[in-house]
Amino acid sequence: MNKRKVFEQRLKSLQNMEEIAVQKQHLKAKLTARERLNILFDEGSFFELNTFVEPAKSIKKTQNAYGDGVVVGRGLVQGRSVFAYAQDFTVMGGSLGYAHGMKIAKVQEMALKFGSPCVGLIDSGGARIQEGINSLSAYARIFKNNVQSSGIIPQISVILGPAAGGAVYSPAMTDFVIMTNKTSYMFVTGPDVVKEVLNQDITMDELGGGNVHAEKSGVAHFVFEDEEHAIIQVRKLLSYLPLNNFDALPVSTDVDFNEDRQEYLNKIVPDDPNRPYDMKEIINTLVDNNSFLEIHEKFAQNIVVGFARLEGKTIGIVANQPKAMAGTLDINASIKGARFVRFCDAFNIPLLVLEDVPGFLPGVDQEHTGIIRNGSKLLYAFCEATVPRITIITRKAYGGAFVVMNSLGIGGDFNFAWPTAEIAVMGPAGAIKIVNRAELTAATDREKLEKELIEKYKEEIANPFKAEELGMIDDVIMPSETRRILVTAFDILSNKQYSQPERKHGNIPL
Amino acid sequence: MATTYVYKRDATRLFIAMRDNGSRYKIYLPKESNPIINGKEKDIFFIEHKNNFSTFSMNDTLYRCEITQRDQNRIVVKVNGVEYKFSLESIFSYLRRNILNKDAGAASDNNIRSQMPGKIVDIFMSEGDLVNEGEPILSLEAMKMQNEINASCNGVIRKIHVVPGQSVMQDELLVEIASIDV
Repeated sequence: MNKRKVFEQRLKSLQNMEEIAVQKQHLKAKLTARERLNILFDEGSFFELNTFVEPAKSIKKTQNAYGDGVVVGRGLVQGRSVFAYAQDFTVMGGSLGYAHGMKIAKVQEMALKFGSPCVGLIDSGGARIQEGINSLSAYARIFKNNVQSSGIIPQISVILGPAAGGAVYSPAMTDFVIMTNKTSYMFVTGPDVVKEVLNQDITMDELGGGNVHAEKSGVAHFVFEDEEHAIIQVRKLLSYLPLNNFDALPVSTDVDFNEDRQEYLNKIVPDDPNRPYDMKEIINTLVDNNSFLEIHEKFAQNIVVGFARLEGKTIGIVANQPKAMAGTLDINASIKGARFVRFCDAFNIPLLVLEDVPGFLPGVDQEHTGIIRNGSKLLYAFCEATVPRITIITRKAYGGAFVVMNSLGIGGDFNFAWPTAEIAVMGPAGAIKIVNRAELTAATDREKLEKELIEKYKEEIANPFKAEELGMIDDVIMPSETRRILVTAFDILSNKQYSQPERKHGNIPL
Repeated sequence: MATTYVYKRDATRLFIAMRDNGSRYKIYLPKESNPIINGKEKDIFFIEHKNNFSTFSMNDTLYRCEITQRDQNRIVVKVNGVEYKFSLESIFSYLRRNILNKDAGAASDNNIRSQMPGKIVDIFMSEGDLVNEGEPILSLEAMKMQNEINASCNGVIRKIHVVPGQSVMQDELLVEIASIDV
């Protein structure tokens, strides 16, 4: 056997496969696995592994299937090492056979061993039925690897085609899920089964399309119109993250902020507490220019989470959004916030909390769906976090929600308040109805007395200077000074030391 | 056995800008000469200042512009007080977009439901009005906060189901909009 000839021949058939893939995928407005990896990695940096692995012998092939439907390897993203696998839908529908699964498991294990992020570009029809339990065992190993790597290396999944059945659980256990609109789907049971069991007609898009998961279920952290943008987003996201939980945070040299706009913060919060404002304007003014990367933009909009840079250094931001649902905390907001806080804590990303919260959302629906169980997730996550964490109270900070949003009592390092802050157990209108009930029922002009009492309450109780005197917050600061103070405060906290009693793991109320 | 490949990155310098009114602009950016827009060479000079303000000169006239919004490939630019909405596509993403739009079919309906139980304070629009995406339609007070409810798409208001002062429940239908987005 001429070995050189073999070498040339299989390279040629690989090129043929790639040409077929280009034709098939481009017709469906999709890119091929290798084209996708080419966008993800710096030019020419991709190093492919196990290129010529073949599917199990029992499979009848109609065409060449080198690689068994998945391309795996390592490349550079902004010069930093990242492992990735990309499923190839043109080889047996990207179905996951034993060899396919073992290739994915291999990069996952290498990523963990060498402390680099792992990115999955998913476009697969699910388990390969012909290979039976072998294919399932490969899935099992992938799931196990997902969990073993969790909190050690960042894991990102990009869904660029179908992901159905058990296959959805691997992306679900990774840190970030990115989807495309119209070309990607995620569901546990597809429209056919839904029709059979429940007799409901629903399209793939309505059941598990990108927009559904980005807005309603919260499964997808980002959704994009085009897959090129989706993959570029991975590069952008990775630029904020350390390579592993012992790696230093990346520092950007591009430090520029909007100096003229800092003054504007002094008047951004409306005098009337019933008027909303956009918390994202405050965030964008405080952090370095154009550095705010919002996560879960369309899901649970009453809380805003995302990464940003302050003097070039990555921080995580959790902020109440008065513009959506008055900034109340509901079940979805608590889960969204908690997951983000835990991610930042795992990867040593300092946290900034911007607080304007009237409380938890009341209602039968919320209580019966478990706001107690779910709201406690956010509280648990903040209590548990050991990274530097600072709170700025911009306006309302009432009741349990004040405690939850990173107060000093649960381990916040600094709590600052703007002069517009109202810190108390309850809002004025509710509070006086309880405290001054007797006076109010006896009063002849009830409305006038109510107004007076509300003013008095605001003056004497819900006043940031009172909280400062009691030592419940660190300082009342001018909004325009906030950025300067944050930079100093995070600098003070940069060497934060902590010790915890040894344990296997806590028991977060899941 | 490990193999390294070099796959050539798309080296095209051709872009397509689409305005929200449907106009298309073909933009070619040669490496070392002026950009060519719709086949005509334009002498454009662009300076980006701090705070999103920029100045550009076209054919020796100076304009001051502001980039008011940037979201994925969508961008909103304000020149002389007028907002222009664009989405920018590379030639490849433009082709993909066309394939997807062909499959997707005609315009759909967009209904606005109330996110929380509350009370309608004011309604700014009436039935039959044209709305742009993000334009406020009504004001809803919930949890002691007056929220503006905005249009979810460009379209025509088909029906308004509420009146000022009315209390609404969560998920109650407020407004129906017939979308005119492509």
